[in-house]
Amino acid sequence: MSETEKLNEIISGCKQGNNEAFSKLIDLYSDRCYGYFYRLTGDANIANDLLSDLFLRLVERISSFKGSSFNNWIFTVASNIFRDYLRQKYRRQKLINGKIEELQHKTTARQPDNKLADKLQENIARLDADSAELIMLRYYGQLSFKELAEVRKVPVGTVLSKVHRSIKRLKELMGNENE
Amino acid sequence: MKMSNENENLDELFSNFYAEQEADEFKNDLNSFDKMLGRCSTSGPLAETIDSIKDTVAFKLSSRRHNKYAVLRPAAVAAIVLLIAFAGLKMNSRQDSTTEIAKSDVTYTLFDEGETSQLASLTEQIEQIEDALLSVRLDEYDTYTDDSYLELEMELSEINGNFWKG
Repeated sequence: MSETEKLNEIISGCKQGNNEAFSKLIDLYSDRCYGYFYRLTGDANIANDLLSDLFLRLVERISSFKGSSFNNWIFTVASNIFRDYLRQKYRRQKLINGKIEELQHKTTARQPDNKLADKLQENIARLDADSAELIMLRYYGQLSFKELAEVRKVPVGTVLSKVHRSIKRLKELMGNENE
Repeated sequence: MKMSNENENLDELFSNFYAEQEADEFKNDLNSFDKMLGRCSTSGPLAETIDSIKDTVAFKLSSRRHNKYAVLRPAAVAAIVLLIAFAGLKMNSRQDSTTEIAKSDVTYTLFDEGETSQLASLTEQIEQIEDALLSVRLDEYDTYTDDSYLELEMELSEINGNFWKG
């Protein structure tokens, strides 16, 4: 049985509400989705929460999946969850701006990765949220530029220029670490 | 993990948007970014986190199943109530028709048992009144035998006379 056939079988099981199928789906996608959330939030706890939200949302929405690329679909849902998180964070920031800044500082200091990872995380946070998300969708979601354009509902040219600009910017920010 | 999609032909795609040199530069940047992210790979979620997610999903799935039954239960109750109501209506309509029949039976029995002579006498009286009325209409009734009527007539003629006298 090919990988695609296996995935289709899992999706079919999930659509029927099969717990085991969902378990397999979680095993299949949790690492990449976690990486996507973690790189964008810079916080392992938030990444875990968003990952949990993602799979719970999948339970509700899996029956609506009718497209050809499940990978594309799951990362679109992940992207929506991340955007919801950003909106909530923005609202919270407006309410208790000072306190949140303090908390963010604390969470940044809690990164488990090495020095390079910390610097990368720091510099990803300097990019605008949209561009950062695009490059993470491309890396963790392994979406093609065309798929990214479909997800964002923008022309491929726009996606290409945004991704290229962001990578160049990161390269500058990382300096020698990029080599 | 790579920042490229295996099914994607970057040369072909970039040729539509960039000059050769620019396209090469973009590809190099993508490759170096891939390598850097590879060096900074995330450890992935903890096993406990995954277990917790799986438990939550399992709970949600079971509660959804439960909810499905919860929706079915009131529907079944509603169906039973409707059935009972329908059966009740049916029985009521039957009882009504029985009562109507019973009522007509009673009516029939009332006139049948001993009251026919009374009915005949009433009919006779009605016929007499009808005859009398007809006589009055035809001016055949003997009004002069009624003294009060005669007295009234005399008074009226006297008033009439006094009026003209002034």
